[in-house]
Amino acid sequence: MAITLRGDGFQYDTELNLKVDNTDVVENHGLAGGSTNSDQYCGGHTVRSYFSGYPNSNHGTGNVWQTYSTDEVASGNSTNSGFNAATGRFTAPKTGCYIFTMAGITSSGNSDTRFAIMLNGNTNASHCISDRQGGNYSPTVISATWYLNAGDYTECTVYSGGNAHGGSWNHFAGVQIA
Amino acid sequence: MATSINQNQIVSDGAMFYRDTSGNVMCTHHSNGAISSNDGSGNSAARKRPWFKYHAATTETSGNTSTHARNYNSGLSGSGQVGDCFNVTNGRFTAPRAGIYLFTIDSITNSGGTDNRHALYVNATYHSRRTINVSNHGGTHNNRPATYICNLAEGDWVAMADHEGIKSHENTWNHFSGTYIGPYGG
Repeated sequence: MAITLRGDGFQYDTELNLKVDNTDVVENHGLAGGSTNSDQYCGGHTVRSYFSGYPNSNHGTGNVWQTYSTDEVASGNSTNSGFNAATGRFTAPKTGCYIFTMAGITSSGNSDTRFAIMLNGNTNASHCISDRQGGNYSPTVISATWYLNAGDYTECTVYSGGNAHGGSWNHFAGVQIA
Repeated sequence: MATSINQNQIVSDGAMFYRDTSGNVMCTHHSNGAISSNDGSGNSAARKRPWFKYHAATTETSGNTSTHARNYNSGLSGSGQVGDCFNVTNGRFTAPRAGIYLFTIDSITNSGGTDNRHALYVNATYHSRRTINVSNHGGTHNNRPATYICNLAEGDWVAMADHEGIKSHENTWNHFSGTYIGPYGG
């Protein structure tokens, strides 16, 4: 096996591994092309900002969902996620591209029940209306991909026409993807 | 152009290329910070990166959280997978690596006059990953898509399910898809 340092990069005959601590392969370049983090399953970057949970309070009209549980199976809140589970506010820790998704069902709707993932306090950034039926259990889902500057913030609310159902019938999740 | 090794740094004054012995570019570190992974024809090099999308031919409402939609093997348009991650017969996605995954599911009600309670099961649990297709507009074709971002351990299984009420419509009127985002940094 041989690796040659060229003027514009590297040339190799089988594979090229980048190692730390002399032993741990952190990146692999094979003849099939591309760069992978030690194997071909890890095409993605290491996720530092991730949260997923459901709100335990403030389901009423005009309130920001708060006091999230993030410890359910397949949920979580990473150390530097930027998500404050107590206040329900996600603040982008880094500039980049994020995916957010929220879902909820209505409780005591009186016609249109309007849900939103607010961006910097603005409900118009990403909002949706549950079915025009009034009453209970109409579903709403909002998914958005945003390029945020560090410090931009998102949070969930029902801002008009009813309430969100309590408990784990709602959720809010986000992840930085780039 | 020059590339050099300086103690613990690899330094280039322009784009840095990785080549095979024929000189074909396998990967590029661009000067703007981007890394492009390709095999010279633009194809992804992460060939086993989990991805799947299918439609369930069999749906069933059950309070048993090991029972869920299955028989995804009808080969309907756009279906497929990468990374041998999805069992089309039993309907379970099994995480080949720990990390963050993105899933989308959708369903419509099929018949009858009751609500459909739809969920994404992970290891037979659905807490905060469920919702309702209401039946107030009649018993059929009320819709509900959903997106979930999950932190999975290697070997965790994920499935689309009806856990209460009437079942979802079969075949192209539902879908289940997912992909791997990346390892969880903690």
